[in-house]
Amino acid sequence: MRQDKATIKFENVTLDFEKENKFINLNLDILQGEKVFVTGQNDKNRTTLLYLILGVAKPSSGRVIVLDKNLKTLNKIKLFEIRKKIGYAHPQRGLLRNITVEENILLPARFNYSINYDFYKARYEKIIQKFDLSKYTDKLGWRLENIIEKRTLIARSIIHDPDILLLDEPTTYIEEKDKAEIKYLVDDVLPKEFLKETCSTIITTEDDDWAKLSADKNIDINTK
Amino acid sequence: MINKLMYKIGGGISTFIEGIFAPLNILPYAVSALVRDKREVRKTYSMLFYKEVFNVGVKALPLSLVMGLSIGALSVILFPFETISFGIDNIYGSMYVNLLFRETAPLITSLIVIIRSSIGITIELTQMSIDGEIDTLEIIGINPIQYLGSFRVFAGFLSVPILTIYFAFFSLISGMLVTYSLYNIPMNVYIAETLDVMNLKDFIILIIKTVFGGFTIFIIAIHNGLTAAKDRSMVASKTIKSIISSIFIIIIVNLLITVSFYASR
Repeated sequence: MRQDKATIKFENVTLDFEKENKFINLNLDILQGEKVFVTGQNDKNRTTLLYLILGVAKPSSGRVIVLDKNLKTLNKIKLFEIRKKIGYAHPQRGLLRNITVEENILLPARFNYSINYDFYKARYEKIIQKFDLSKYTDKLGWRLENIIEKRTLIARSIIHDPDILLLDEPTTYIEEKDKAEIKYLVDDVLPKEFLKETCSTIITTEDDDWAKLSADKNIDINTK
Repeated sequence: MINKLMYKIGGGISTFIEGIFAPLNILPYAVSALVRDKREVRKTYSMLFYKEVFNVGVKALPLSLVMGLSIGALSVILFPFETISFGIDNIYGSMYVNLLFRETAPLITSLIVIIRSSIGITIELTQMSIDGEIDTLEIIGINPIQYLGSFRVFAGFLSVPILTIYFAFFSLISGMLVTYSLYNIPMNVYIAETLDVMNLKDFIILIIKTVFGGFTIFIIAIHNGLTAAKDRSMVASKTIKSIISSIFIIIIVNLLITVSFYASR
């Protein structure tokens, strides 16, 4: 059931990186089931926000709380456990190059022992059908067109039924004609077919119009 | 001044010790991965494990065969049996067991595995580090040691002893054939002499040496690959480091095992 419970909380988060203030005293709550767009001119800052949620970047001060855990207090093993509950789609080059599309998509599920084999196998079949990837499952990760790579990255991010979904620049590095297809996947297919009602989705994009049209909440990092 | 110097020396020693023991971090993951796999009835690790055993063990068989045959034959051809016998009655069997079975077989097999697999693994993992694939695994919640390291360590554990036994067998066969053709020693006499000198202790020590060699080679290769910085020059430097460390440790440990088990006779 969807509740007004925060899955992600930023409490006075400041991040200094390479002698530059990326964020100063950032406060935000992202609730269960919310679809949040992160916009703003600097794509690196947009991605950094996702890296803070993943625990890849550590705040200089303040707390990032994800699924009720303060990331700063977690060791590497505990951090891996939290990340297993998050789906992350890279902007590009996020696939392992020497394994196939099928193996890439199944990776997060295969190494997540809380997921039942039959569940993720059935989910995989549904994903490749809906994402139109059945022709590419045997292809290696480095031999894909940008749009196929993009679809594979998104497919991999949802295979393990995450509690939080982070889509990093889903409409960049692809041709103009393919952007509508990705938007359709993100806006219609994912919430209806694959994401649980409580799954919070955070999408970074430079496309302000898309954000205005689809977001439950919009975070403009230029103003943060 | 002295405090600073002591601090630097202490820091250096602690970094050195940490560098030696850090690769051992791989072991607990390797064990837990296999146990979990069995419990969860997953085929993931088993699949990767068999693939690696094939790469390490089966693909190295031809090289092991050629090296075994040639070293077995050369040791008989080059040794001046007519003039030197050290007062030993069964000099042919003694030479095979003491020189080839106990020392050369584990050492040469370890070198074969270093050339074939250790270099390959270090380069592959270093390249993955440079391309950001290791970061990708971490971001999606997979421990790279678990995914890329554990099954390789166990493949080494299994493959190196088997390859050594192959090497020892082929060197025995070629030594026997050359002894027969050069010195007219009947094959059954050669085998009998060899079995007369060899005992169970030799076999157990051979297994200890090779199991240790397998672990060492793979742990060092994996550790070097996974700790590479994102810099192209790392491919060469990490590979060289991996080879030199493996050879150095294997020679020292083989020597120590030989001295502690055989020197007291």
